[in-house]
Amino acid sequence: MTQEEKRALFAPTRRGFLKGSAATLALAATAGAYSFGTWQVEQAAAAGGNLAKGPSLCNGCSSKCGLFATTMDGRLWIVNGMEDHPYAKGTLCGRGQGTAQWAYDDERVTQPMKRMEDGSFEPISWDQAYKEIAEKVKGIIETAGPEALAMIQDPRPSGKYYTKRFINALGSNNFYTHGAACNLSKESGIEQAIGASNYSVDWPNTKMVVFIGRSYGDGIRPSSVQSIAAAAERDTRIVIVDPRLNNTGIFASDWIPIKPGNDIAFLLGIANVLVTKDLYDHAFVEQHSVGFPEFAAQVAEYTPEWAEGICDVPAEKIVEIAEALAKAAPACAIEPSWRAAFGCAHQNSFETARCVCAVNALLGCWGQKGGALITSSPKAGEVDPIKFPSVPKPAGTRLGDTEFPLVSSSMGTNLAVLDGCLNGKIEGVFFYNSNAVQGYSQPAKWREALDKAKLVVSVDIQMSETCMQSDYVLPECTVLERMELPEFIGGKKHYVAMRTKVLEPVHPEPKPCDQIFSELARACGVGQYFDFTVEELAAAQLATVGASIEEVTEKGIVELSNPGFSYGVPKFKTPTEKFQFISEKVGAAGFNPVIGYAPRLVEPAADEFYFVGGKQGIQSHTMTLNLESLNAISREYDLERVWLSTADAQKLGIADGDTVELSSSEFTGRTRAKVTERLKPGVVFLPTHYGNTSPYLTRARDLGLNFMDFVPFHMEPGVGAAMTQEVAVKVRKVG
Amino acid sequence: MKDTRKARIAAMTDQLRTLGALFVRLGDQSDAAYEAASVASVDPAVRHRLETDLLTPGGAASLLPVESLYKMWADPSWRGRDGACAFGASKHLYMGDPAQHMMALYERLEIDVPPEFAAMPDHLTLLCEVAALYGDAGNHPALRSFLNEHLDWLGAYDAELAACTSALDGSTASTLCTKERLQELNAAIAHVRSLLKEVQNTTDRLEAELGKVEDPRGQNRRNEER
Repeated sequence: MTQEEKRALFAPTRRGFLKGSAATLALAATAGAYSFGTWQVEQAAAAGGNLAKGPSLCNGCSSKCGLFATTMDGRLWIVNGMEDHPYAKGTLCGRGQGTAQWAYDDERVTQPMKRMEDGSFEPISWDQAYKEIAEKVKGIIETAGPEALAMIQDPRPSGKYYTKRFINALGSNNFYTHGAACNLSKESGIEQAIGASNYSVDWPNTKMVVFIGRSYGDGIRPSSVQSIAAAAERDTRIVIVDPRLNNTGIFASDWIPIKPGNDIAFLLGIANVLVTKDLYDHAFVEQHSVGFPEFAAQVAEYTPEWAEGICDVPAEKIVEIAEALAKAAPACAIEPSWRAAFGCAHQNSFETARCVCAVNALLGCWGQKGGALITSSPKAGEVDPIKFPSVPKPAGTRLGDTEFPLVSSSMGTNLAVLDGCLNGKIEGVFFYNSNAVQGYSQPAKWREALDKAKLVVSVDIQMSETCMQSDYVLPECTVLERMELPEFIGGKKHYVAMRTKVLEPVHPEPKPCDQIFSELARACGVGQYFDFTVEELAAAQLATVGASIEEVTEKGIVELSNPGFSYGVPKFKTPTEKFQFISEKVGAAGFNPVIGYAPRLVEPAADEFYFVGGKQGIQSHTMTLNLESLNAISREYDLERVWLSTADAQKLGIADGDTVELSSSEFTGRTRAKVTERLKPGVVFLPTHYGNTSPYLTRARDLGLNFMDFVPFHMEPGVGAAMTQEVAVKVRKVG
Repeated sequence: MKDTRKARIAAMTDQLRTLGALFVRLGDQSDAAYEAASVASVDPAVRHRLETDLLTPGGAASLLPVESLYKMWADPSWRGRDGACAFGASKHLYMGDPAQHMMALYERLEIDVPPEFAAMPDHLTLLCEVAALYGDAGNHPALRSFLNEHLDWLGAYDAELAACTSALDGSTASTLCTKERLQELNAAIAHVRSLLKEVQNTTDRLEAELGKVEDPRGQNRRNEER
């Protein structure tokens, strides 16, 4: 190629972006006919020569199921559930297949963004973003102190470590999970009764299980579905207590349509039968519990007839369930649930969780074969304090902990941040992997609160509704493009698993969260706590449990030393070291210390309905709806529709598919109706994944309604959960 | 005669390249780019919306002229022995088959792709440059095949731009977006559609010119693929 030709090809006036070699023009003249068709034929002939396989943990929900991703020439080809992972057991659910495609999604956020005065976003450089954020952080610390800063995150293996370290390094204790809109009430309540935040059903050996609202067939974890399917095969009695016949129904023997938010009365009715008919486990109660006499005295009031009047389950059904449980005991349990009916839904959710535990205690099923198991979890030991120096514990109390003294210490109530922004106590908020605005409480209230803050930063992979309220959005690379710290998994056996970098980052700018928070910390002047790589920390943490990073990176999951699980009544880690029918801490917080009845907050008026929400197996929260393949399923099957019972629909003149208007004290919106026999009359069900408003997410935008738009901002006494179903709605036909 | 035709084709591909350059973020160089492409410039505010909202991945109305986004991600029919790609039928994903082919082509032509195009080696701007490279090199069979294979999605892209206008107009999301900005965005979409029409016209003229030479092999292949 002559100099002239080169100039002609690549001169700046030609505005060329591609840079060729000296031979490029000659190659284009001769070997250039390398067509797409030819390439396809070559690829077909390559017969998988460039296949590679790497482990990770799914990010389709919070379960973090193990997976293997297979790549072809570096491009994602298939994903499979990890056989050895206790949650996956060889299967990934539909969300896992969908979210694997995030890396390539066309609506990811791919560079740091800054919100301008008119609400629009402009791309900026990382350096500019760090510099400006750091200046604002320093300004807030100087004028209001570090306690005016807060971090809200939905825990992920690296995220939960780096975000906590970052906010603590800045001197703030205000570190929160998403829990107030998930399982905060339930875990806080369970903790007061058994000293652990959760437990599991011994599915392989159980004879009878009662679900209060939770649905394995909707909020899917593959191993749970396998467990319940196997139990159903063995004719295990599976009872679903839910105003809606949910998608676990195919495994169930009973559906008990209950008045929402009144599960507590159903549980206390069962407790009454067990106590008054002397069907309870005397040995357990006498040897392993405190407060039974007080509980028994109180529970005498909660007759099945009393319960029927509140929860609308026939008294004879309550008696029958109680007697069947007693017969199956101790190989039976009330299932612990998750978000569902009492994770964060009602004013009485904390107390409902305690009641669940009380029934299990009366049945004597704690720790028994086929019963309710409290297992242990492994964790990393101490790592080198020179290389990984501890961050000094910030002074003061986390915002919200004083007003909500029963809140789980590992979660905190993130709604204290919302409130704190409104009353001026919080001036700077960081979000990681969290769409609080859309899902954690009333969205308009979140917007109002964040508008008042001086600094809002979101780290995310897409422009969520929370990002839209942020001053800066920092793009994280997607799950298969990043390695993370080890994830420890408890149960009858202990494991450690890891996300590895299966894909080279598709876009050049997004970074993993360890890097983002380390760099941000340096910009903010606390880089001394981040002077290590994620690889170094992972290796150090794994060494403390006798595993090597090489082994975990290769296998994806490694079983740790046997924790020595055995059946038998566990040692309860409560202050009394016994099961607590009575809790001093609950009493000190100003509530009835004895497990008992508490009403829901909102009762619908004559022309109103109870309003309940729930998951669907192919969507997670609000984060998966924009993925084209998962969005297409929702659209294909009209999954965004609101459910109405046939009886109610007839009264309102509404036919299946009609457009209806829902209105509450907070919001009015329209969507289509699904008219069904699978819902208790008087109740309206809306799936909780829809109604996104971010203009950046075009597939999710304007599909269905957002449940939380209808719910007022309020907090459950004691724990500060979002009371997500304490609202009534009106329904009318509009088309 | 032949040389005149070669020059004519090279001029057309050169025009394609200068038009293609208008589909990326140019910042303060955009006036020069419009001048080079002999296309009337546009209101700077509209151009700004075009660059930050439409042509930036993850932007507010992000619709990039990237071939992979408008085609099936991986053809499931021709990798049977290894098992088809689980996501093959998906669209709107970066780095699909077209991008993979382009990377292989760049390697053969000893071309480096700049880092900002790492996720989109099949961006319209680059595709137009490659077409121009073939035009300059006088490799007309390769040029024709390239146009057939890699610039056959402009209609699909245009349809999505049109749909985006109506989605923005009818969106509840407009509450998050000032009226002025919405107008700029819609003007930006109209503008990018007009640019796209210029590209389409140029490729049509190119194909007509290329079609004047007898090339039964190329023609047959094209028919089979269609």
